[in-house]
Amino acid sequence: MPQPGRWFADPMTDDSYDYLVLGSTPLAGLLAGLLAVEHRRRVCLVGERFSPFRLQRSIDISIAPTTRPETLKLLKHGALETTKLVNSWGKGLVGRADPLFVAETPQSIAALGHFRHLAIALGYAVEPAADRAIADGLLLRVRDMQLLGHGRLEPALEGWLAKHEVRHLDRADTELTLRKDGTARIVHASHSVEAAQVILAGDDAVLEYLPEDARDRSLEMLPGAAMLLDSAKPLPTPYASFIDRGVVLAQDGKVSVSALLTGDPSTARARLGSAVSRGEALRLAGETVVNSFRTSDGAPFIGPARGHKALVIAALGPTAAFLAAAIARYIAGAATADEAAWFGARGPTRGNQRLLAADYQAVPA
Amino acid sequence: MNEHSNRLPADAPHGLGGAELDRSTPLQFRLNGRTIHGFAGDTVLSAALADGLQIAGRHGDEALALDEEFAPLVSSGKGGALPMERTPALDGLNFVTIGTRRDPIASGGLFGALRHKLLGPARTLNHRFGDTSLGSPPWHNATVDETIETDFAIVGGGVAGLSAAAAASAAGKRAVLIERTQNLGGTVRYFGAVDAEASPDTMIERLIASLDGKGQVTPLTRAEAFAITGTVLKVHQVAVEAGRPVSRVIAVAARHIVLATGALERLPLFPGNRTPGIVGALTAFQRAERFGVWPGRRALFTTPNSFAYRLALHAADAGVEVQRIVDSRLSTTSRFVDFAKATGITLASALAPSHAEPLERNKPGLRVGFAVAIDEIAQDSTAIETDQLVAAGAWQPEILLWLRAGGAAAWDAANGWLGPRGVLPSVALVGTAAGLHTTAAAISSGRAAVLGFLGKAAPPVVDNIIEEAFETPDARNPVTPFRPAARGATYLDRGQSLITRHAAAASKHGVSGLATRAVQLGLGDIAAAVDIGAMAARDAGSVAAERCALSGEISDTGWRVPIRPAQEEDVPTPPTYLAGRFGDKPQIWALTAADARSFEPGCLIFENSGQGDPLEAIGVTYAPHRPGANGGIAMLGKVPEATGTELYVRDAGTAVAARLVERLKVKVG
Repeated sequence: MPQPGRWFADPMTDDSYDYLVLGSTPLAGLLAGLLAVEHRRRVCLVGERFSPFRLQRSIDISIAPTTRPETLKLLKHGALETTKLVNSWGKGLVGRADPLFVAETPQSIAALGHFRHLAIALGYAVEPAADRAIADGLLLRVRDMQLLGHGRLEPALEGWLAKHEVRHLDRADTELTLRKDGTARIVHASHSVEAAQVILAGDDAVLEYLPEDARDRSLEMLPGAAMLLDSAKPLPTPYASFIDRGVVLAQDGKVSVSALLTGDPSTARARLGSAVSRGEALRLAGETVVNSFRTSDGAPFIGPARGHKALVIAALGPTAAFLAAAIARYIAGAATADEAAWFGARGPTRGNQRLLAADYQAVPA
Repeated sequence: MNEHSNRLPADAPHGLGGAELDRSTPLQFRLNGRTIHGFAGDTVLSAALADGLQIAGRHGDEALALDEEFAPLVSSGKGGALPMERTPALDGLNFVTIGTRRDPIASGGLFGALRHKLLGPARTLNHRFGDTSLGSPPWHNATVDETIETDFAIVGGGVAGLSAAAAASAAGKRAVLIERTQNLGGTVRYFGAVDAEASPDTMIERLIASLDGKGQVTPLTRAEAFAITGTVLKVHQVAVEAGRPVSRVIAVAARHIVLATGALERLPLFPGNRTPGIVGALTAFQRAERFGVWPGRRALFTTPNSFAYRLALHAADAGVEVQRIVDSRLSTTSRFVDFAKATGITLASALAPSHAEPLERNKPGLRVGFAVAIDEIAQDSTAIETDQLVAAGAWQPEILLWLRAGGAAAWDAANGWLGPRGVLPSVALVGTAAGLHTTAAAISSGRAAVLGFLGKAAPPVVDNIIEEAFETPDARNPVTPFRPAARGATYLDRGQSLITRHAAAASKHGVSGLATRAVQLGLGDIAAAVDIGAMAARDAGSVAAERCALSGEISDTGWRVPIRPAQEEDVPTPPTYLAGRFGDKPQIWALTAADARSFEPGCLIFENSGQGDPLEAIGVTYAPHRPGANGGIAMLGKVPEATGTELYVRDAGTAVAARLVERLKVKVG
């Protein structure tokens, strides 16, 4: 396994990068920027350029119903860091949200109940909600969380990267050779440059660049979809995560709703329909496939690929962007002891350290 | 006022008198309470247009033209919601339009008659279009009335579709031919013939005759395919049952699908481009050719290609005063241009519309300005008053069904349109939908697609475009240089999205508009967004796949989370997410609460009441106690001394004393 902090380019080689960060989500952009700005690394980011017309592929929020206190602690600190950073770019890029989490099976109700006690103990404002129009089961609302503003965030992120001279290349115009030793060659506009370490930052990058046999055995691809919908009236709650239905709904403004669905595509619309306030209807205005990863134990995966030294960051879920600063410190060899322990337990399946990191994950029907 | 003043004479030359009308059979029906006069063969829309209705309603301050691509649905009571442009006008029926309408108080009765006398007949359907999307037609979610099984489903009854159907029939195969209008033939008559080609009428006659081959071809007219799953098409058809139009949804299950869906004529971009009185050149032609509809007696033509000249010449022959033909190209070589010059029609080049506005509210007629059609130059010419602006646009292959079938698309810089990419195993695109330019290529592509599916060789499809020396190529869709102070909104397309240039441009900076509004986009919206630089050309195909390729509503269909019953166990097994949480060898204990409460699963357990940090917890409750007992069952890491030991359970932040009652045996994973 590559050692954190040792992924540097040969300082004698000009025009090379310490890191090639692959990915198109806010996590990838934040990670690339943080490595460059906070840790003085030479970074090249390769991903899809932001297009305001494309569908939102991630809904980035600062909380998820984890059952691991160390994860919640990390997230709490990370939320402050990411929010502070993004707010420094401009107004309206991070919104305040009171997300609603809905558990309906006994297993999910127990897990969400445990999350509630962990969150309260860590100072989160968590309260049960009772709205049978939304769902039966356990409904928990967490107050004062942060939600990244899709459409507004990305241009500001681009500006931040440009300001700090982080190279951001469009993957469509870039030819990559990823080697098993974790290095890469980047060819763009007939110019070739080397990168000392490849970082696959997010599920999208792992799906696109890492062949199946190089993925850790704990990673399992989960089919999913992103949808854009029009609602005749505001949803009962602007952010709702239906854990057992594999549905996340977020409303930006009065009528526009983004939905992310995981699980069986054949039931996706039915599951989404069931999550819509009963008697209401949403009009479909866009849909695309967005696959993701889950792990066999429910914990995120941060570690090298199988037989490959590229660093894989996968299965972080909706809070990924809020862990970017901690991940950057880990990669740059500047992690705190707690962070190092957290990342150390979420590496490959070799050994049994992942047993100590198992987290709850519902299996959407 | 003559109710048929917006029609050309029945014997108008070049077939512009309305081939589908039976003028010997007049009829009348009511639309929103107003009596509409028409003829047998009219659609509800064509009769309404001929009767002077030009406005669908208002979008903010903008009056929007009533158009084949923008007309509200109508209902005649029974039969459900119907599209105006595909619903036959039937004598004596009473239609109402569906949607948000704001009719004037005095629209009916005596006051209505007085209003009619004073102000003239109403020109508007009085709808109000907001910033929310108009939604998909109800048949997109309707159940199927009939299923037809066939070898080939062919969408589009133009020459490419007819050729495909003829090839299927010749091979002894069954084919269903789906056509939106009332008759087969498509748009080839607008384009005319080239050199030694047979006339369009002859071509169509021959192709229709050849449908009668070894196989059976079933035409479905007034039918629109709106969904495609694998090789099953969903088709909406307006049928007539017991003298009333009714809505039918037909599933066409085919082995192969041929999409001959043609091309759309895009909306030129200038302020006021959806002002009533503005019509696309192809639409203007079809209104006249099918129904003899031509509002007013004066017309201005603007075009980036040569075909509109042909229409202008024919319209002039039919008695329309062609005030001017304005071409956005700098210099033009075309036989049509030569004919127009010879006829004495005023021609202008390198100009495009700069704005359009109504002459008077509630009165027909509009004022159109022109500007130099060169980037960054905004030099206006004098505005011209006219009855109708025939505004030709660039072409966009109609590939919606292709996208819905899972086909890919990409921006075609050479042609300036969003073109199809790749292949699908059982779905083929032919004709102009496939990006072909010529009638000959369209015909041969239809045949080749069918033969290809049957594993037979077909002659190559040759798309011989006339050389530039003889025919100046089409220009890009006219786009007027942006002026912030311009009056009137510039819409990207004629469809229902109602996206304006201003909103699209704002989206680039993440500010509302096209990006975040939850509206389904049309192909024209996307092409226009690329043209004005609001969308990167490389994104156009992906955006189309995401935001054009679907329809429908999402509502609760009764799906519920399947509940997995908990296993019957004496002592419940701890959940896996607690594995390793409290050491390698945690113990399972039953505990009771000092205040006789039951602990819900998930409460943290501490040695001291003052502790609260979850990382200092020594255990967690994970299951209720046995029935009748308080407390709960807990997993503990730091092993207590013995039964009776007092611990503290944090229940929603409150430390509650609890005692260990009994150590339980369970296998901990």
